[in-house]
Amino acid sequence: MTTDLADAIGYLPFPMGITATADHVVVALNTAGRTLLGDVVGRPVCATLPHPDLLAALDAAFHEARPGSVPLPAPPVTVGCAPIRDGVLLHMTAADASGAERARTTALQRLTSALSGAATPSAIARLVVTSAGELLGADRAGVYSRAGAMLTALHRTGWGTEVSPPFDRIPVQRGRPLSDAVLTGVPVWLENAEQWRLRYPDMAVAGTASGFQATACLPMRVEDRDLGALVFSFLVPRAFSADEREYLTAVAALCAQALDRARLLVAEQDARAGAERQLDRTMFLAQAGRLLQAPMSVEHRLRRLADLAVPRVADWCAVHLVRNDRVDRLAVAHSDPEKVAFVARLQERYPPDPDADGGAIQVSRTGRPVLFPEIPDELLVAGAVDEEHLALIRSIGLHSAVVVPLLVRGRSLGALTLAHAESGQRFDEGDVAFAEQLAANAAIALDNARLWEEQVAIADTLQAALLPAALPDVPGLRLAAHYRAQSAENSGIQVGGDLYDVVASDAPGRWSVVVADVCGKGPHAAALTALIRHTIRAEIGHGLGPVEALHRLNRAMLHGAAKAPWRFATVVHAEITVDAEGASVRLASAGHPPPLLRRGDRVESVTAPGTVVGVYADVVLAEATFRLDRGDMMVLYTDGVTEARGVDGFYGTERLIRLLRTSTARQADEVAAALLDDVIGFQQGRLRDDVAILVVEATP
Amino acid sequence: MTATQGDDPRSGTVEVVLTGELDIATVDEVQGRIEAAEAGSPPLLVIDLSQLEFVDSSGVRLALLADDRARAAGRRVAVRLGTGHALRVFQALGLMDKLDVVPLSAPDDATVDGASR
Repeated sequence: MTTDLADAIGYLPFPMGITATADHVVVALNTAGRTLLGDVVGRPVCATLPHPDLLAALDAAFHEARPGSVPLPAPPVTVGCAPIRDGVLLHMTAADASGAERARTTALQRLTSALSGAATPSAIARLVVTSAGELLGADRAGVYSRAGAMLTALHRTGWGTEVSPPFDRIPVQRGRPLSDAVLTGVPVWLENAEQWRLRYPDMAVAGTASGFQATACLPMRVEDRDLGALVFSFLVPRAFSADEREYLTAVAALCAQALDRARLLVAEQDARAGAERQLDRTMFLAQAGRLLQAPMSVEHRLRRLADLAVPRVADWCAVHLVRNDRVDRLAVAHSDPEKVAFVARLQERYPPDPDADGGAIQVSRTGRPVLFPEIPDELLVAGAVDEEHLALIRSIGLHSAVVVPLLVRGRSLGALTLAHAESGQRFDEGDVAFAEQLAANAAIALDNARLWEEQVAIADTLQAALLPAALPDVPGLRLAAHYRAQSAENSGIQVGGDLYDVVASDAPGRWSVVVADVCGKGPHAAALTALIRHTIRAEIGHGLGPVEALHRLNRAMLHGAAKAPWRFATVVHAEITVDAEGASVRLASAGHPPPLLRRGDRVESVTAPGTVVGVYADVVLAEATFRLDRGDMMVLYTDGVTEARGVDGFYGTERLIRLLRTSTARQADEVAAALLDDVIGFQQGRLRDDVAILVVEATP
Repeated sequence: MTATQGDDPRSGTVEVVLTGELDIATVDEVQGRIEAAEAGSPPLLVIDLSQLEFVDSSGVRLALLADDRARAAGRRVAVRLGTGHALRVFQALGLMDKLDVVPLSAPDDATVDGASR
């Protein structure tokens, strides 16, 4: 404040100064003050003007905030002491000054002090109009600020209400006294109606209407900044004396200085508020980004996003989604749940008009954002079905809204609506950009979720085509099979390479069972899996044994290997012939994990060495033969079982054998289910690889 | 997963020693290391899998592909399987007589398995 005041007194034509501290050290002195006292800045004022009454007045002003004035014998001046924050404002008037001079000096001194406390342009203008207008006896007084080609009244008095509005904003136009003062930077003095007619013949009628005679127009400038002008008008002719002109020029300078300071203050506050808002929004976007990646359904994430937005970025937030040919409201959020319930009831009773201009449904369809800086009452009237509806929507009190589409890859998936009501805030173009950024993040999350769902559906469909829809009924055997794809978080979504199948052979009572595992995942692996399934089905029809069927399979795979070089498979193929005592089995394995036989509480491993198929022309395959007595089981599986990993390391063959030996499961389906459960539980529910299990039991 | 390359300037043998886990998640990185080691056309490239804690079918395929490239280029690729997980995997898949398998001692002293192929 002291700095502002020091600037302000610099414009004044009579001696002024400012002291600070209890010792009344001079901290500022204007030019007239220096002429009177010399350069005494930095020294106690009483060292220059030693007088007990002055010290007493300074002490009273400083310690008790009491103004006073003291006449001094030498130099012959009256020193006024006005309390200001952290100091005293001094003004010195020559002892021989007239009463009018003293009055002006005192008025300026008061104005100077008062302006230093006025923060807004209208408060500054009111002070100036009141102070100077009263002192001069002006019948009209006004302060106009300039913005481009327009002058806007900050404060006016004396115009009378009936003519006020046209004079609130007037264009800057050469050839008019106020404009000329603004454009030239030089005051315009019109002392009577005759001067009006001589200098402004076109304007004289208007300027002297209602009996006005004299007018003073004073420009307000600070450095190169043009801040507007002051105008004072009088109903009587008036010769503006040199002292009055000096006084008004000083008032204009003080006013300009104060307005400039207020403008800087406002600009600074705006900049700070803008920076804080930007920071808050950046943090909000970061928080929203984390929320949108949270492990929950995308619709739940979008509902949470709406909740997060209120009341931080809007009083209301809504999310709409395009679903087929409809646009559904997914979420409406407000910090007061009662209001949310109110809107839900309202929209149930009066369903939203899908064709409403700028509505979420329309924005969802067009993909174009809509901003309502103000929501005019006419819009509510237009949207209301009847009077009651109008009263209800008015009661929500929406003031401003922005509706942006959820755009991704050029498609609109819905809309995000932000609205202000009771906070009284307004959205602007900057808010549209912010809302669009938020909407884009939401749209990407939505799009990813939908792509994911689509991929899961495609993978499930393909996978289903690689596995039998149901196992056949085989007289004399009980069959049970399970397949579980690797957990999606481990693989993304891929069609697995595991396969099982059960096929009737050419001879009655003879069946082939196959379990295979193709190296890798994805389309190449899936194609190979399909090739294995169909080749084996075909070879079985030709009456070939397991070893020969695998040799044929190997050749078929090598033939088609160009598309997926060195992609091998492990296959176990068992030919089962059912008889009265159980079943006979011939089995070949191409590098597949060893089949296990559960005979009561004993478990045996079947040894059938063999080379993987699909990569070498010469593969070595050995046939194993064994019996399955009634109640015996053969357990086939892929390495997703034995190479499953949990906190205790690998699942391994030993654990598998132990489970089969000790499990209380009695039938094939129970054993298969128990094994699957154990493998899944061992990995805390997250499968590292696909798992296929096939259990064949000779019916007891 | 780490892959460390050691070169023997006298014999020209290059050895890539893998540790950790070689599976679908790490196979691309290791493939890059193997191809880098092949860039100098070493007469013998040893891929040491003996210290791996885990190797899956994609890791096995990596060795088969390297072996295939070496045959096509007139070079030699050998794998060191040691006595642990990698050995059991290659045995189970019936691949012991399909690849050059070198024992745990240094390659210079190795008697190469599968020389009859």
